[in-house]
Amino acid sequence: MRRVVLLICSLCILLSCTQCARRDDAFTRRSEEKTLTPLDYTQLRDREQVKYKDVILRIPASWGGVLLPVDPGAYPTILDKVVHSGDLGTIMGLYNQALFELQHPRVRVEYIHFDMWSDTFRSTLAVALSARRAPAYYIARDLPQTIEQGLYADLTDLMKKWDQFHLQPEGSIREGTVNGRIYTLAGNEMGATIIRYRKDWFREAGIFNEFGEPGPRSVWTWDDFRRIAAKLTDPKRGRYGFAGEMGDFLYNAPHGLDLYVPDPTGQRTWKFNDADPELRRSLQAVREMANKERSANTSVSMGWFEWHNEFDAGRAGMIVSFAPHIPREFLENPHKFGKDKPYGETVGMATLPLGPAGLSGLRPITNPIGFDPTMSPEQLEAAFEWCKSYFYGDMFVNRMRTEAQIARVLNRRSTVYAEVLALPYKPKENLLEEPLEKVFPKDYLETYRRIRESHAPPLPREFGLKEPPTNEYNRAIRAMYSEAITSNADLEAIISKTASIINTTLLNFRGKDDREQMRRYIAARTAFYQKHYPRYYEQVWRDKVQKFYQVP
Amino acid sequence: MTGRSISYKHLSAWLFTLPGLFVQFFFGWFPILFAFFVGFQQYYLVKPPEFVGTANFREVFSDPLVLTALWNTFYYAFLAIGLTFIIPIFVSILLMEMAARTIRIMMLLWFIPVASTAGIAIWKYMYNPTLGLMNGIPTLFGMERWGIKWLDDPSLAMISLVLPGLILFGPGLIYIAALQNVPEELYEAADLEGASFFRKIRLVTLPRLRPIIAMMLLFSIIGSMQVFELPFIMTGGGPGYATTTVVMYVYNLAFGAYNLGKATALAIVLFFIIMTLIIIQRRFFKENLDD
Repeated sequence: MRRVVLLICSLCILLSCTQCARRDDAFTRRSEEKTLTPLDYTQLRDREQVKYKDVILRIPASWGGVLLPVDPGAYPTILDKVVHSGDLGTIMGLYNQALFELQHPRVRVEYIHFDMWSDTFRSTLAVALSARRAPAYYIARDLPQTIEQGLYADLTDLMKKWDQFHLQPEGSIREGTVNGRIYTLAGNEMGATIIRYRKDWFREAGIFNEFGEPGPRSVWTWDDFRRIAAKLTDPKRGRYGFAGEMGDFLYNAPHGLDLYVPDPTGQRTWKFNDADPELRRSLQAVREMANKERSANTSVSMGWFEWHNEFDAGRAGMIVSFAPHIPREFLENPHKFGKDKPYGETVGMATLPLGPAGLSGLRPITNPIGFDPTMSPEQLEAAFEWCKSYFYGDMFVNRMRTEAQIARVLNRRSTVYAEVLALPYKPKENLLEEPLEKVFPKDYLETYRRIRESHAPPLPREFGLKEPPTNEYNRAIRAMYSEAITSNADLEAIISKTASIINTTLLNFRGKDDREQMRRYIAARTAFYQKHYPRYYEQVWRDKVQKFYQVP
Repeated sequence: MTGRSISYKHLSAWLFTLPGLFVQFFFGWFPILFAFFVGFQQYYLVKPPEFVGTANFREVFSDPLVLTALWNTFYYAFLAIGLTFIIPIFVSILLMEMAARTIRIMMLLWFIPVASTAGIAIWKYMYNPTLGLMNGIPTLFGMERWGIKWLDDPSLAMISLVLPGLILFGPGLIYIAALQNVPEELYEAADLEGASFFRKIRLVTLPRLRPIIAMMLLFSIIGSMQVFELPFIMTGGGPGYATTTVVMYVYNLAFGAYNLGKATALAIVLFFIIMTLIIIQRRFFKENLDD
């Protein structure tokens, strides 16, 4: 008996070892056969069809894919469940999968579960890439450090051949470009960081925009923002003018405050910009807004979710938000604030306030996506084609039609309008039954017009200059602002402490060809301001270059 | 016993132990060994690593934030051990003096909030300066000026993190379980000798709890030196760097700055600090009653 048990155990161990050693070599297998047309492919026998498909695409269900329910529940089969429960989204996902495979006979699409929106995404992705089980594409966060880590395939050649390359938002292209090579593709939802505001509060306060509607004017300054925040504040009613994280409260970008500048000694690439008086003004302004005027509600425990809660609960008149969310909510949840407060008359959107010299912090961006660098060139090309079809091609059209039909059946507004409003690409067909002007309030359309017309300044990475790690750098800056807001410490002491931390831990590097790259970078920024912000160039930038941008 | 049967016994023992050993090796020892490898590398998530010698350790020792994080961690450990380790010992002893039914109810109440992550998230809202319960209750009684900023006050933030531990950390249950095993005869003998209540605690209860206290102290030191989720969820390390602990800084370095080599080097430094503390604790706080 013992020997039998022993034998079984040994066999189990042996089997598990062989299973571990088995490699899924489908990824690397190359077809020796000639390329077949879709028609040729349909004439193959099942076994030959299976054999012919040697380009595997792993599409994440969280972006582009669908997953069938795991349990049929009360239905006889899973397919029955999908059909009879009216799950048209899943059916369309499967239809698109079949269509794409038919258009690209060598490709086999596998929909996989891969959550790219959770906090553990980075570590999960690292493990998945090491195990060669990553999805074909995924959201590209923490740029450019993740590019330096080798997390994305080089897309430059594919981009050059693509007819809609130029339609990607400028900010997204810049974000994903390192030393002239492009590593990310702009997602299908263009937006920007904008201000979400309560129209009813603005109406009460008598603040109207150029359309005669409650809200800030579409061209407003940071001083206007501060004044309005104070005006909307009403402690007796528990109202704050603004709610947000402990940071610069939108001050730095429109005032052209760069928090790191070239190190004039040449010992490092960058140094913390503690000499710019704008930094003191910024810290002073947020300290006063939070503590003296009490127009800004902020806390170390406040994140995106919390300040949106403050807004929805009627405790904040303005918050920072992401542009596409508002038109979508307008269509999906028109009575979010009650039957007597239609969404479009309650929630407004405006672009970020400008600086005194007309500089804007508005950056047109999308969620950029990167592609698995371990894929073969055929897989990479197929994944790129998939994204094109999903973003604006056949699959996009199918998805939108389905969405419109579902909305009609369920008697609700179709979110197609929000998708098209935020779409950076040119769709294959016009899918709108009525023009966007008839659907959305004026401030939504005006904000989107401004987003589309806005420009993003050049980034150091494009010229091969190393940047400090984005997350940690932002954390250090937030720490500086939170100290300024929560303590009475001298601002000079806070700045000097932050400079010491940032210079020692985050900017302690120097590149080989820094000098030349830095010159090119500064020249590009100068040209950018001359072209898009001439007033800022004349009044501020020229002086700033002399003071803070001297290449050693 | 024949030589054949001994070798068979050994072989079968090894074979049955092997899966467990594999798991222990790959998930227990291997990561520690691997950390020593990574600590000397410029380590990338996908690209091959580059050997950098002791550069990561030199960076760790020259980083001013490491000192801040270490100070915060020791401060947290001091508060946590003081409040959440020592207080439950005395609460448990006093609880044992109550009726059996009360003990059972109290144990139940003690056990319910041990769902820690959810508990931490709730505490985050309880501390909210405008909406939270901690400021809301005094306001209800007309004490609007109470207005403590809790997590937003650099001098209060750390103690605000420790307070939930009084409820969420459940060593009291373990002490009560241990106290129930103290022989009743010892107390009876003490009563006959005319020992007072506090004398009984000093001479009977505490010595009998000593092995448990030693073990719990060990866990408490390790746990509080590795504290991560409390500051991560509640304050993000702020205000300023007032609640940034070492493990949180390791996490930020690894998955915020993608500096896996330096993060691992700091983790190794923390490993040696904890080891040192444990050796000191084992040396000076013996578990054995006879020692």
